[in-house]
Order: sequence, then structure tokens, then C-alpha cells
Amino acid sequence: MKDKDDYLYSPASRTSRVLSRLRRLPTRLRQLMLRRRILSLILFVVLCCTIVANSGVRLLPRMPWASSKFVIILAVNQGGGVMEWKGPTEWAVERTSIANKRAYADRHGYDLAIQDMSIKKRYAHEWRESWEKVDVIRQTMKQYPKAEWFWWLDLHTYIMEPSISLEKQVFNRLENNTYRNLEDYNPLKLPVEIPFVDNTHPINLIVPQDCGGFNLGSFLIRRSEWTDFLLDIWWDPVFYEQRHMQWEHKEQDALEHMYSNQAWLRSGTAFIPQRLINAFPEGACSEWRGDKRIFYNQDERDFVVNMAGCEWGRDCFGEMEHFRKISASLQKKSWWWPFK
Amino acid sequence: MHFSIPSRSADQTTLPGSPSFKAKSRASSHHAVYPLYIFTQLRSVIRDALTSAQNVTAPEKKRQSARRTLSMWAIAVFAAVTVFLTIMYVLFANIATSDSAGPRVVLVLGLDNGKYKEDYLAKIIENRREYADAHKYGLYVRNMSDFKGSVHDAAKLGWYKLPLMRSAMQDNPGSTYFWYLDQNAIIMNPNLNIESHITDVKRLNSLVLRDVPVVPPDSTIRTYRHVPADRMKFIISQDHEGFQTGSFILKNGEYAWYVLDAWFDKLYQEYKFQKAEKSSLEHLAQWHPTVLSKMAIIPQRIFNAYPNGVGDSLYQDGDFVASLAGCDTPERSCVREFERLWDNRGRVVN
Repeated sequence: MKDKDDYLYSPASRTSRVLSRLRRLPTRLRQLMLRRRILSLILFVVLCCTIVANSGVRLLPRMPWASSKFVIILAVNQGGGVMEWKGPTEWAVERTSIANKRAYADRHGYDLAIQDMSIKKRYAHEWRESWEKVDVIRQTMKQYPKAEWFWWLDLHTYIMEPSISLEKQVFNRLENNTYRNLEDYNPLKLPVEIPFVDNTHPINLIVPQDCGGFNLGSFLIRRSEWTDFLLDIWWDPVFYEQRHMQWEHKEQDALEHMYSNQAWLRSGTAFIPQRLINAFPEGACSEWRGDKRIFYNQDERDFVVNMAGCEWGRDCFGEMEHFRKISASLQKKSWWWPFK
Repeated sequence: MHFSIPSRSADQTTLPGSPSFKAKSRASSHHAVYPLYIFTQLRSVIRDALTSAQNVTAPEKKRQSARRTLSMWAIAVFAAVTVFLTIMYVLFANIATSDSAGPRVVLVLGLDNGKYKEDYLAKIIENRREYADAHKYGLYVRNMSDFKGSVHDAAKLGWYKLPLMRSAMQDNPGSTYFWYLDQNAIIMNPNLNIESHITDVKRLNSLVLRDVPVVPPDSTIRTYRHVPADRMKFIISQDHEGFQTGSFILKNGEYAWYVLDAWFDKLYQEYKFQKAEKSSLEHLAQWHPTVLSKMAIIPQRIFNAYPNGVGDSLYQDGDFVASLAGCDTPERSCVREFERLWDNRGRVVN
């Protein structure tokens, strides 16, 4: 009888032969897996790892009650629109920056403290004007009592390599990554030696130096008694009265002054090469073009870019978009990535 | 379907029938007997292991004795290493810890050898040395001119004591308390011991003046009321004008280095305060709570009495120290006042 089923299943036609092989396929697969159990288990684990790694999902869940040892302090709303108008590009820059830091903090389990830096003064030389950084750090230390290290980031920064954790970038080899004196790199020509400095003191402040001195756009500060002293003495009315006309960068200059004069501060401060946490784009420090210590190097996959000074004469939005695109293209993974 | 242990030959069973029937039967036979197969294998392995103890053959015996010797050697080596390490630790740990000792209290003295004669200064040093030797304290004597290079406001002598104290602390890292006493002062009662007279926690707690204005008579900032005395690291007194920096005690550590360095800052010296380092300290205490919170202000007569003072600051017999502060003005003469007190001073009673 030549009805449809018989035609399909009779061994004579090529279609039926292909179909029968196809129907046997799942069974044969199952038999093969049972026969080569270990190999199939290994392949299954590798497949899972590839899928998980490529999707960026965390492998182990983060416990909701654990608070992190690291807190990222992101300074947003600089000026608060009081002195200058905040247009759509300023808002876009802020959105990009916040999203970037939030993704990074979620990925590594750090806390993110977004702090508002709007101007609260009405007159010039009002109390502690422009030293708000110090007050914000103190306030954040109170908000996160269990954290040990606080990473201050200005708004115009972008984390280019979000897969690198702070431990890996800085802290695992802290003694190797930082230098404690100004012998090798002293762009400001501060005094190299002052009496009574203790080089075995634990490190409580990690600051990068750029072409013009200390750069407080991206730095690390640790919770300790030493830090309490620093945050208290950083602003002093006698210092302010004598020097505020000369100190353009406010708390940065105050810190440089105290570093030159007070040995206890020098003992607890360490410097970090700028490109580790505070690389500059080509527009900043433009007189030092080509200096390998300052500028962002895409081939070496530098960690963070700080578009310092972009609000004076450069295009913050354009630079932020530029670096965002570079970072996205660098993070794209090929299928053989887990096996590299 | 059969229920015996399936062997390899079962896979190559040439049962006639359609392919689907063959696949189904093979699969289900595997499903049914596979757990059973594992169980029987395990059971046989365990049985073999248990019976091996009884059926010990000759090569088995040799292997066992070899194993026993090996284990004995391993235990012996381990024991030897443990004993050796314990001995090393006991011997050398003591040497490591005895290194950081030093006198518990160090007296710090800075001499102004430009203005005063050698014999006058020698008497002052003798006074300090007698006291330090009696109580086994350290004595750190330097010329104030040693620190001329680091002082920015070189005219005011008061600034020199700060790098002097810093230097004393650096050179005596094992000591806890550092007592700076001005050159123009004399220890009248050397039988008093610094710890029991001032720095012991209970004693200090009874001496500390709480809720007094930092700058008499009526500054807004007053000393803390509830800070416990064991947290105090800077002991100083006030006279009727303000802080009396001719005699103060600092406890060695992070806080002392911070206060001394901040107090000595270049910008404070250049500000030309009215009373040099005294006003600078008053400024620090009022503007920076991290400084004030560990300061203890104690009555002046405890370690800085004035022989020509009024009221609470007047020196009386039996007081610890008589201070000749302000004697280098034209109306007074440090040497004459000193001689009078020198003859009347108390001596160490053994």
C-alpha cells in the first residue's frame, strides 16, 4: 500500500533515509553523552561559562547585607546651574558619567555615593567656599561607616576598563604601584626632603600628580585618625586669608602647601602614576604633549580618563562621547574570549 | 528484556525489527539496570577491601612493614622540626621585642646659648639632670640655635621649641611622654613624680579643667566637658592671658606629630600673631576640634607656677616647678631671680 507514511519510512527513498537518521539523532546524542560522560560534562561547563561571561552577568550573587570596603564618591552637579546655565549637553555628560560609574560599582560590588556639589554661597569669600570637597568626603565617611577606602571622582571622568577592579589596579600591589617621595617626578618643584618624615607610616592618601601638581580629580583616601586630622586642618582661616588669592585650585593648592611644610602629612601620603587612575585626554596639559606619563594610551588599556579642565575652552560632551565609544569598542568580546 | 548485568555484547545485539524499536529497547534496558550495576560493583569493591586484612600474603606483609617504617620516619622528622622552630622562636622573639624600650618620660630642654652665660646654663642642666636621674627619666638637651634654619619667624624664640620637641620625639621613639620645660624655670620639688603628679589617668581626670574658655577670660570656644582623660594627649596650662607654653606634656604618637607640625606651619609664623606660638596654639585650639579634643588644660600651679604671680598662679612652697616666664624684659633679671630660687630649691629625698 503506498500511503504517505509508508513512503516516508520505507528504506528505499533518500528522503526516508535522511529522515530516519534525523529521528535517531537525539537518541544517538544521548547515547554518546552517556558513553563519554566526563567529556560531555567538561564541554557543558565550558559552554555555561562562555554564555555567562559574554553576557556580563555576575557568577556569584552579592549578599545584600554586605557593605563594601570601597566607596566611589562621584561629584555631580558642579555649580548646580547657579553661575552657568546647564544645557542639554551638560545634562547628557552627567547622565553618561553617572551611568558609567553605577555600572562599574554594581559590577564589582562597590558602593556609589553621588554627591551634589552645587554652589551654596551668595557672596565671595563666604565660609569655606570651594573647599566643599573636604566637607563632602567627611560627610560620605559618616554615611558609609564600614568602608575603608574612598575613591573621589570628578564628574568629567570615564572608567574605560570596567572589568578591572580597584584591588587589581591599585591595592593588590600597593607598594609597587605607588611612590612615596618626589625624587623622580616633581613637576611643581616642591622641596624633596623635609625633616621628620616617616617613610614607614601606613598610606592614607593616594594622589596622582599631573603636569601642574597634585590632581584631586581622581584620588583615594582611607578612613583613619590621620585622615580625620587632614580633613580638619585642610581649611584654615589663617591659610585662606593669606593665600586664597594665589591658590587657584583651592584645596589642591592647600594640600600642596601642607605637603611642603608638614612632615606628618608627607608621611601618610603616597603618589600614584597618573595613568593608573587619572589619565588625561590630549587637550589637557597641552604643553606636555607626548609625555608618556600623562596621556591616555589606548593600546595599554588605561583604566580611567579624567577630562580635566574641559569646561574651559574644550568640548566636554564631545570628549565624553569620544571616550565612551572607545571604551565600548574595547569591551566588545569575541567568541573565543574565554579561551584567551 | 533481561535483568542480568549487561555486557558489551548487549550493545551489538542484532535484534530484528525497525530502528525505532531497537533504540527504544536499548534505552530502556540501560535505564533499568544501570543503578543496579553501580550498586553491585560498589558492594564487591567494599567486600574486597574488608577481606584484604585477613588474607595477608607475603608481599603484602613487606609492603605493610615498609609503610610503617616510612610513617615512623615522617613523624620523627615532623617532631624534630617542631622542636627546632619552638626553640628558635623562644630564643629570638625576646631579642626582637626588647629593642623598642626607652625611658618612659623624657624631659626636653632647649638652651639659648647666645644670650646666657655658660655657668647659668650649667646650673639649669644640673637641675634637670638631678630630677631625671632620680626618677630614671630621659633628658634631651639641645641648643635652640640648632633649629634656626627651619624657623621662618626667627625673631621669636617661642617657635624654636616646636622643632625641638619634634626632634626629641624622633630621637626617642620608645618613650611615651615628652615634657617640655622652658630654660628659665626651675624644678623646685624634685620628689614629685610626673606620672603620679600629672599623667596618671585618675590624677589627670581630677586635674582637667572642663568647660573653661580656651582664651581667658571669655572666648566662645570652651574645653570639652565629657572627653575622658585617657584620651588626652596634650597637657598644658593657662595663665591670665592665655596658653602658657613654657611647660607642656605631649604623648608620643600620630596626634603629637600632627599638632607640632600644624602649629609650626609657615603660614602661622608669617601671619605675625601678637604672641607668636601662644596665639598660634590658641588659634588652632579654637578652629580645629581635632586638636582641642585631645588637649587637657590643668591648673597652672601643677607644673608652671609664677613666683611673682597673682591668685591661682602664685608659687607656694612645695610646688613642683617655679617658672621665670617673661624674665627677659629690661625690668627683670633672669639670673638674679634664678639665684634666689636656686638656693631655696628642694633636693631629692632618697
